[in-house]
Amino acid sequence: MKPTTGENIFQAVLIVFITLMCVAMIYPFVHIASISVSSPAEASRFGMHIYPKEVDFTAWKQVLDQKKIWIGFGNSVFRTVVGTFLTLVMMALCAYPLSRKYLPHRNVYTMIILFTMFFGGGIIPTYLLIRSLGLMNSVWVYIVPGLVPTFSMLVLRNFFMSIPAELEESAKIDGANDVRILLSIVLPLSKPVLATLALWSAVGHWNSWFDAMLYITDESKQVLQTFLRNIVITNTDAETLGRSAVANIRYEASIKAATIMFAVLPILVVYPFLQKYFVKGTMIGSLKG
Amino acid sequence: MNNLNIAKIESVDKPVGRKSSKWAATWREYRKSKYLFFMLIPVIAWYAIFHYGPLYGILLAFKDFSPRLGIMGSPWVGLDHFKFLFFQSPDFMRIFRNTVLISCYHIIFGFPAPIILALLLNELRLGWFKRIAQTISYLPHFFSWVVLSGIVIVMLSPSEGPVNFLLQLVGIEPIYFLADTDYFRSTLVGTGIWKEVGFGTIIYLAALSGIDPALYEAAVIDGANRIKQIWYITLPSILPVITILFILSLGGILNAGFDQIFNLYNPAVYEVADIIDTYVYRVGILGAQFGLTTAVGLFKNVIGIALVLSTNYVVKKMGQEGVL
Amino acid sequence: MKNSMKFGTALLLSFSLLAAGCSSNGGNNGNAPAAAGEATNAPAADEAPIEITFAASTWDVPKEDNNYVQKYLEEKYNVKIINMRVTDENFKLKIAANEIPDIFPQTPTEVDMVTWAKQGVIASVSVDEIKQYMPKYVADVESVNPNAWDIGLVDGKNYGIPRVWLNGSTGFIPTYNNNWLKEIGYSEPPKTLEEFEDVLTKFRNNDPDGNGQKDTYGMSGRGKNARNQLFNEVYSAFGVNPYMFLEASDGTIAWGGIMNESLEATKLLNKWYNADLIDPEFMTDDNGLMGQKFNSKKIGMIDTNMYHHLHGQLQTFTDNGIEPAFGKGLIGPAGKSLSMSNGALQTPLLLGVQVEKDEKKRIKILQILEEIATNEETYLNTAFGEAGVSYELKDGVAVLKAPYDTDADKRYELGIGGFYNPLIERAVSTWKFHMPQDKLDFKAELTDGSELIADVLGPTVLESKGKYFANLSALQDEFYTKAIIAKNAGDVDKLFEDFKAQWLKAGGQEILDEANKVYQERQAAK
Repeated sequence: MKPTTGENIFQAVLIVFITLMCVAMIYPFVHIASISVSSPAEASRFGMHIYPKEVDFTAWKQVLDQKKIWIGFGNSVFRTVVGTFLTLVMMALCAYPLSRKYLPHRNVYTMIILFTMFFGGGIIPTYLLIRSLGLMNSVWVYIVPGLVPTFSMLVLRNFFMSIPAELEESAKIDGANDVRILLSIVLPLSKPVLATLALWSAVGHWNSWFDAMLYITDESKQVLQTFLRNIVITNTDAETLGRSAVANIRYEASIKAATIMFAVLPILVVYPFLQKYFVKGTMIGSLKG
Repeated sequence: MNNLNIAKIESVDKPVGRKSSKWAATWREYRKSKYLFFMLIPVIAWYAIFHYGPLYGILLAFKDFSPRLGIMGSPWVGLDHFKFLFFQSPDFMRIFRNTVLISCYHIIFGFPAPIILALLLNELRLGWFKRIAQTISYLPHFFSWVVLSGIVIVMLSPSEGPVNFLLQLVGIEPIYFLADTDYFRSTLVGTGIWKEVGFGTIIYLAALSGIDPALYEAAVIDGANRIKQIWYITLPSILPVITILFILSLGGILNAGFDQIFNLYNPAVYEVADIIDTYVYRVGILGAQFGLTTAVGLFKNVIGIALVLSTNYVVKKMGQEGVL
Repeated sequence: MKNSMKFGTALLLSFSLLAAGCSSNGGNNGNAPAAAGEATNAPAADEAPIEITFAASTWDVPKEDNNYVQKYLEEKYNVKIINMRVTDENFKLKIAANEIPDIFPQTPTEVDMVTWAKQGVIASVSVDEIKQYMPKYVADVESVNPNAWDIGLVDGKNYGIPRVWLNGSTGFIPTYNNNWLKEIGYSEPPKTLEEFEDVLTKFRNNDPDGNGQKDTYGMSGRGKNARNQLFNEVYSAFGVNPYMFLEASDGTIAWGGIMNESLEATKLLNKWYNADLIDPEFMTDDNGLMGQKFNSKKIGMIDTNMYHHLHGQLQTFTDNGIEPAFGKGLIGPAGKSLSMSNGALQTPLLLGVQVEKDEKKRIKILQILEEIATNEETYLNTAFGEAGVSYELKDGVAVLKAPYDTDADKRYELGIGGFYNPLIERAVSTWKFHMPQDKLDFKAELTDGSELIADVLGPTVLESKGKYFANLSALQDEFYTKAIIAKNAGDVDKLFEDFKAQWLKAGGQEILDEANKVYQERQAAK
């Protein structure tokens, strides 16, 4: 069917509108990136910043010179990679049995787990527990206490439940046990949803800072978000902000911008590779969830 | 429940001694699914340690906490914390009202946004443009509120920010969105939409792609225009998804977004921005009033569980699979 | 069904019991420093070193154990130091988890002190004992302010070691951008409130930086934290500070925040705000941001520095092309030049409760603190490090050498500063190491002859303050921000009346009554 004039106008308007929306989505990042490489005078200019008119890399140098930024980066990568992997393993171990109707007392176990979604002991007993387990000031405190995100686990369980029973029944006739079925049938079929859950977990890990604030006092174990907060939100990191190094004080806006970009870039780099997984996976995951 | 019924039937089938038969049946079932059970052991142990372990901390809501005496040893005060909270503290009504209001605004304005965007994206004919637009709009979802707050603070600055620059161009006086009680909640909702609207479209686009194209063809033959097609075909087709997500969002009404508010607020806007979670942080962790904040947390949990259970019930009533 | 429910309940119960058992055990005999400290109760042979847990600062925290200062103290005083690293954000949680250091950080307030005294977390130490083991330090403290002992008094017992902050007894100095002043035709800083208003107006409207854009403001304010500094110059001109106990004209104690002078000052600020003379971002500005704005020439006046801050920033000003002009308190309705001052009195240095029960340890700590504060060699080693390596004495003043002077990481490696020396810059006898002649001159130039506004009670313990103050502060922060930015000047009076009534009702009256009682008692004792 040939598009009518009205249809063409509609499409044009739509494209303009969506383009504007995309600009609104992307502009803040461009603005910050531009400020991060601007001279102090340019950085404080009232107006739009699409590209820097006076280029000055002092702020980036100041940020990249900070050892702690790299320490934080390393710790954040560690918790994201290791934490996500272990979370997937634990979730599968939990979701699979709970999805099998023949597990005795299945509802009891499910209830026990569900209960924890609503009631927690609070901050002091959790702190005491973490300490008695020797997790204080250890990078494992980022991973172990949040090992099974209950909501994600339920999404996975629901997905496992939706896998047709015939597939595994034939495997059972061939003598396969539950472990074999999980590894060779269920998990391969669940790749998209696993990818989505991995993404949720990874994003959560990369963006977390509260646990670090409570349990970590050793700077060598801090995560990137903590340093980011000290620089960008609470303005307490006087060293990085250049308040002690005399002439840098005017660069504060650029230093903050450079720090933000430092945290943004890793995500931008991996983003294109993840995209195809999460779009597909989220559809399945959220519809089932 | 099915498996339990089966278990009963089995035990009736085999007329051994009543007591031993029940245990024997259970034992047999466990032996049959021993691999499943072994898988479950580490997970259950983890839940026991990390979730049930600290649970005794709830007692703090009824105690006058003293670090030297510990949680179990601290003296009981009954419902004193709750009495203070509900009847004496000027804060409670405020934080409760703020929490519910901010959540409601998020739902009223933030909930329809991805639906509308999904409908618009769905109408696009240029496939490559649609894909690029989607990719860009998902992006802000992936950043923490720490990062985004840093960006938002710059964008909304009255003296340097581009938003106020644009407002000025059209003759509006600069507004300090983050420190003005009239604008702060709108700013929360606006930046919330900015972060999540794109990502929120994914589920609706999935639902839209599942609609049978034949329906549209038939509608076109019947002479239905685009608006009518959306109204009579598209919307009804994705209505179940919309309903479920809406009900779910109602269930989370006491979670007004700690990370976002905590990183954006300041004393100038406490009046409109202080929610239950930020209060618990300020008064509990910084003010060391652990008994009081445990009471607040407990209150929140009880309301939360009621909301989630009832919404889940409604979802199931509607013939959909519940979350729980 | 019934069976499975029972089974479930049993399972649930056993989980929570088991887990509760685990964690409460852990809580009691975990490897927490406090527990470790208590364990050394039994006096062993004489040479066995006493273990002392330091958490004496949330800044200057050493990165590694067994650093220079730690080893120095351990060898000299035959002790074993355990470093407990804490932040302001997690310290209270650690206390709640019964991780109690022997020496507390310097940041807790008197409100925290009362709470902890009542909970039995901190040690009471008798005044006599402190005087016995810390004679020089006590003499130093009493020479600055004989009332220093008042602060640590809770329920008739003394808690912690009294502290005075030597710089605290000077006032805040209004600092102007002199290039701008000249640009608008002022040869010296404004002296009166009227002149000040004129300066603010011209800083805003006359393009003092000459860039052709209206992008400058007269001043900003410290609205984000340390609220007693918010526009302190203006409040001082009215003879008040909203965040202090002040003596009213009838000799009673009043709270600055609800005094009429504060209302008048606020109305003036409101007028200026609406005339666009004040940086509209002031409510989220802290000291760092204000310094940045002053140095990048966005504001022309800053009032959150005392002489020693300014002395440290002279080079920064020069590097940023700013010639500073230092003013005096503005003359306004109060009729004379007044400067706001934090006062010298501070919350005492607190000690963990285990120290109260362990006499040997207590005496050892007191002895070390005495030496840290007043023994020159110990002071230099803990505050500046190794002579000739990290610092050298020039004309009797300790000067850090490169790279220690600019690289904080290097200083943390050594462990110098406030972590092992919580009494740094707190004793008259060792203060000289921080005061070169030019700094002394600078101090005299800026502060001599200034009359001060200071809290008449200082951080005195008031029981009602512990109960209500956090809430009242939030209430007050909110009111002052809201009143200053109120769009309609007529609203300020109404807002003030509402705030005052609410403040008094929500515990303020109780605080005032108690403050007056304490004040009368003190006056009578003199």
